Amino acid sequence: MQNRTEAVFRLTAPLKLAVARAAFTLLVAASLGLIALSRAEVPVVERVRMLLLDQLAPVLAAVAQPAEALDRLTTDIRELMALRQENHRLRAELERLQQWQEAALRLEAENSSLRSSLNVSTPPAQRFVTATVMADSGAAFARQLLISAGSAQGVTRGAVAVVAEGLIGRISDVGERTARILLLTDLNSRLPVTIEGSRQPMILAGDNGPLPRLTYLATDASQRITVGDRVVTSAHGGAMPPGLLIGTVAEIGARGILVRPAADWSAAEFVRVLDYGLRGVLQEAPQLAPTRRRGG
Amino acid sequence: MATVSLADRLDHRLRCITPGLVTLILALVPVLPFGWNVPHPAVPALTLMAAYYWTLYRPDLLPPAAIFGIGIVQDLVGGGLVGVTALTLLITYGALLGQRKLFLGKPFWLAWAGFAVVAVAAAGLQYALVALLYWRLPAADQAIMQAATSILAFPLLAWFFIRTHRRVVARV
Repeated sequence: MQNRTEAVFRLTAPLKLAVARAAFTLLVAASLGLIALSRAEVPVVERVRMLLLDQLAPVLAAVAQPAEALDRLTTDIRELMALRQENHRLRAELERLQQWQEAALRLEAENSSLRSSLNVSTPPAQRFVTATVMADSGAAFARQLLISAGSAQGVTRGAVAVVAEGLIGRISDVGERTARILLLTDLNSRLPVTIEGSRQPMILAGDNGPLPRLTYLATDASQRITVGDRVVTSAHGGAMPPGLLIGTVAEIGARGILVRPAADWSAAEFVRVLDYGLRGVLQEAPQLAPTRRRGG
Repeated sequence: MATVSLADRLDHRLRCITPGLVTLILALVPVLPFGWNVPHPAVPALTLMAAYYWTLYRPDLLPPAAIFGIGIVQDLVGGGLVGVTALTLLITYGALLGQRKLFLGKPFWLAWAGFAVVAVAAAGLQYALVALLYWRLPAADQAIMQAATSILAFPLLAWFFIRTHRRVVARV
């Protein structure tokens, strides 16, 4: 009995090894193939991804609850401790803002009278969805946020995502209940922008680092840019409404003109997804596979 | 010949799949909304540690097919190119399988040093892949940061793996 099992083992061991080697090679090849498919942005890959994230959304939400409660508690304690100081600061700010309000009202009135006298056509009205941030991308080579709103809430591909301080990125993939925001710092992010007050079109390109870079600008335009200039969205390409704040020029040096984003999304709990109905050059992915809900 | 009851068999199966399950959960940890406010590249490569540990000590319990599946799930959920993590983990497995004798029965610091080499190599491989495929140089700080936090966090995760190994997996 003992001898027989040993004999069988001796016969099958090399075979098993060969099978294991072949399987390993096959898996490596499969990984390489998937990388190529994913790089080619084959829609099926993105569809599978959003399907999986849709399934995972309730799990993420459930895990987030205790973490959020803890977070809220620590924030409450910190705020209580700083209450007096905060109050003082807010009074000062209120005073300052009231002066601004005066100025804004005056300007608004002036603006509307000028608009009506010039017969300006106003940009299309915006629609927005507020969504909670479910997760930051865990990948080291991607700058993305996962949010809790999808096609069911009217989020569309290419829509602009903002927090209170400014723009953070655009919607890159839409699932039924989730969507992904390609942050403006991502390696693949390219946004049409301009310097506030100028009409020079340029592109803000992310490189996964914290400070995205201005590219494709005319030489005379780059000479006029100074540190502290405000960078806003441009209507060039018809993909975005003009004038949304993105950030300020932080550094002009050997690495080019770097922009510090105005918005801090690392602490953002909510984002707003604005839809102006502008699709720009972004094409909807062609339908390769039948959608799940056909005829349903 | 002793009879094996259903409960025993179930127990055995569960113990066998524990390393895979634990690694799968680790693949999802980076996207869990903990509200830590940590910049994301600082999250260590948890699945890399798991693949490293199990390949060295019990490669039979985390076979390449499981490694592949877990890597794909991590890539799908985390964003970025699908297959990069899977490829990294598979190469780690393939490279380590022949080197197990170097580490078995040796002090912990040697395993740690080995992991340091693997973490740096993995970060380099991923950086090179992304740079090559997009034909642009991404910022390198995050690759360095992730390798560093991975190396620093390794003893903690290794402690957890060793406990799982001894308590759950040792008998299979």
